[in-house]
This record gives sequence, structure tokens and C-alpha cells, in this order.
Amino acid sequence: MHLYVQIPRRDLSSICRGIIPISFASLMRRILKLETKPPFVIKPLYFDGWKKITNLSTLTTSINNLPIDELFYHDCSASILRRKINPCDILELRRKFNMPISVAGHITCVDDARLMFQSGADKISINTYFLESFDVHLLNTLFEACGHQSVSLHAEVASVDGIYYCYSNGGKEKTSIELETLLEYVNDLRPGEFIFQSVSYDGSMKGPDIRLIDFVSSRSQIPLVYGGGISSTCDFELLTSNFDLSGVMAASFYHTQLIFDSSLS
Amino acid sequence: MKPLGVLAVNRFANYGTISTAINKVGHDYIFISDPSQLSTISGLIIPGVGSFSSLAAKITRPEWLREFDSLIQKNFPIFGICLGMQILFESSEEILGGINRLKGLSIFPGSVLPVSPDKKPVFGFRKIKPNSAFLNNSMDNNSYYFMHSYSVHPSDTSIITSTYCLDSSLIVSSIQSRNIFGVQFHPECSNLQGLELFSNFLSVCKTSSFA
Repeated sequence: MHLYVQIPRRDLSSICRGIIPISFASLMRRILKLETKPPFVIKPLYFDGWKKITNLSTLTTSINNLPIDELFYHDCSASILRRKINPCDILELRRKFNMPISVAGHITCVDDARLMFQSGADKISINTYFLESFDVHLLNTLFEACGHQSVSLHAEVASVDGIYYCYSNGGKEKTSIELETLLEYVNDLRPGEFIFQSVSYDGSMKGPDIRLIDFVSSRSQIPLVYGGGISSTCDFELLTSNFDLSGVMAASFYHTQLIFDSSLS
Repeated sequence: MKPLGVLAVNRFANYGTISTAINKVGHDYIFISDPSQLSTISGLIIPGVGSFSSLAAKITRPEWLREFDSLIQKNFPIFGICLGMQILFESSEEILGGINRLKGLSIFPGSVLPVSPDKKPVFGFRKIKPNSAFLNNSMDNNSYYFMHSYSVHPSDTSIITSTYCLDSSLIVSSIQSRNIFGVQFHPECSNLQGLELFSNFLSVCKTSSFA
């Protein structure tokens, strides 16, 4: 059963219907997005430019005590530089953190995936390579070997002239692929999850991109994870109570929680 | 005491996470890729990431089945995680592009079926209702991380030691029969309460004749 709620005026303007369903069954995960350009944890703004946050090696196990369900490790420079993720970085994270770790960054073949799992990843996510190649064979091979639930697709998305386009290479390069087209592939291929991030809201901490979430939610048939603009626990609650999202990712929000306080000082 | 064994016939299991968890509870492990190695370990962990078809293709070969039959009769400790629990049952509907059921180890009668008609995976922490000392932890925290699209349906419900609720359905989250334990969730990803399950399994191994 769905109940309907009128959502706040500031958000109403961005939603065509004005009302959205509340799913009480939702058990949305809170995911720490760890963007890196090894050896640094970085934070882009609108996926453009990189601000160094701290050194990867200074991350402390205190993150285990925060209300975080999962860690999403994204090596933002891997696809741009066409280099592979260093498995030692994943192994180091694995030793420190007891939570599930998803890994993304220039995964282009089954051996890349295997190496990530051997190093301590529990899931992998593919973005640029799929947008550039639409290599359905690789995805199907990975699904068969790892199970659908262990392989996600992700995309950075922005609206241009009213149409949502997918971005690649860590959200830096606009592609000609419309989000609607990608979602058709996603629904057909059925990866474990579809992770989508708003380029226009990334790092801004101005609240979630409700219009984008509504757009994707109404078209996707698989579990969804959203990222971009999260600034407070209220944002998590807003999304929990109004959308059937599997997870919400945040980076800047957690940075402001001073989880990296020792290095920031 | 002999090391624990981690079944490593599936190229894509999350070996890094499992082996780190074993180290964190202060024990050694070796990877097991051949049935002859089973005599060198005190207990076997069957990791969870992968697909039923790829794991079943390897582990249901006669040489593996013979060795498992022999060890289970002697009460050998086995800890199956997620897919590692599912493979203990007779069959699974998890097969890509086909309609035939795949056979598992058949240690327990029962089958593995999708958690929901649309096969949508379940992700995240869920609270289970435990009914076994094996699932006890010092924090009394029964929340564990799930990541699965299929679940077990044992014919003998007496082996079920916990369940969780998903959209008003009860999903089997763990089983136990003598020294064979299975969990649908991922203790290796479930913070300290998950690590304690590895400690509990280690205790079982220590007191078994295979130590």
C-alpha cells in the first residue's frame, strides 16, 4: 500500500506531479562515497576540479563507528588516465573497515573484477567502459561469474536543454548517451544496482536532485542508489520517506562530520 | 590447531574480505582448490560472492562429492556464507538464460528460489531473529548485511536457526545441522557482530576432532 504526501514547496517546483509515494518498506543504505586520486582522498565540485581532502593512508577505523552501511570507493582518475586501480589500496581499506566495499574505476575486463574481489571488494561498479563500449558481453560474463547482485552500473548525469545525458570519466566528460537510453539497457541487463549521481549537485551540499531522482525512479526496475548534494541527515530522511531507493551516497556531508579530522588539522 | 580452509574454486568470490576477517579473529587460513587439501584444515568456509552455476559446476564433481560425503559423516565443520549456504542444498533456480534447475551438494534437502518474483536483489543490513548459540554475539546486535537475489527453502525446517522479514515474507537467514552452519547474510561485511561469527566458527573447529 502506498500513502501519498505533499512535499515541501521548495521541492515541489522540481517535480512534475507534485506528489510522490511513500514506501514504508524502504531500508535505504547510507553509503560513504570515497573519491580518490591515489594516494589522496579528493572531492570534486560538480565533478570538476579536485580538492584534496586527506591521504588515503590516514583514514581511520573510526569510520566503522559512524552510521554508514557501506563504502563506495571510486578512483576518479583511473578511467581518465586509463590505468588500473592499485589492489593494495583496496586491501588497505579492507583491513581497516568491516563494512561492504564497492569498487569503481576503469574496470574493463573480468580479470580486473577478479583482482578487486581478491583484494577485498565485495561489489564492483562499471561506468566509463560501458558508456564507451556498451560491452554487454562483459557484463553478462560478470553476472554469470559473480551473480547480478555483485555488479553495478553507475553514471554521472546532468540535464542539458531539458534532456538528461550521461557523463563518463569521473563525471568530467559529457557523452551523447541519454539517460533514458541507458536506463533501457539497465532494465534489460539487470545489474545488481544502478548508481546515478547528479553532476549539477555534486559537492554542492544544496540538497538532493529531486527531479533527477524522480526521473530515474519512474523508469527503473532495479534497485537504485543516488548521490549528489546531500547535506544533512534530513536529506537522508527526505529520500527514505519519499523514494524507494536502495541507497544514498554522500561524500562532502561525511567530510563535514570531521571523519578525517586528524589529517584535516 | 590446523588452519581454516577457504574454498577457492570460484574465481570471483570475495576472498580478500573473507581472509581479512579470519586474520582479524586471530587465525590462519589456506585456500582450498583441490579436495585432497581438505584433510589439512580444521574447518571449511565456503565464501558467498558468485553465482550458483559457476560454483556448482566445480564443486559437484565426483572427487569433491566423495570427499564431502566422507567428512560430513565425521562431523567436519563447514561454514557456508550466502551462496556458500545455498550450494549445500539440492538445487537452485539460479541459472542464466535457462529453465533447468542446477544441482548443489545436496547435503540438505530443499531448493534455492528467487527472493521475489522479479528477482530484485536485497541489499543492506537487516535484523534477524536468531535461535542458535552460534549466532550469539557479545554486543547482542543481530543486524547483518545481506546481498542476495535467491534464498534457501529447506525441506526440513528444523535446521532453520534464524529468519528475517522481507515485505511480509519470512526469509531463511541461517541454518545449522550438527557442525554445518550456513548464513544467508555476509558476516565478513557486518562489522564486529559479523566477526564474532567467525570466532564462533573457530571455537567449533577447535573443539572438533579435526583441530
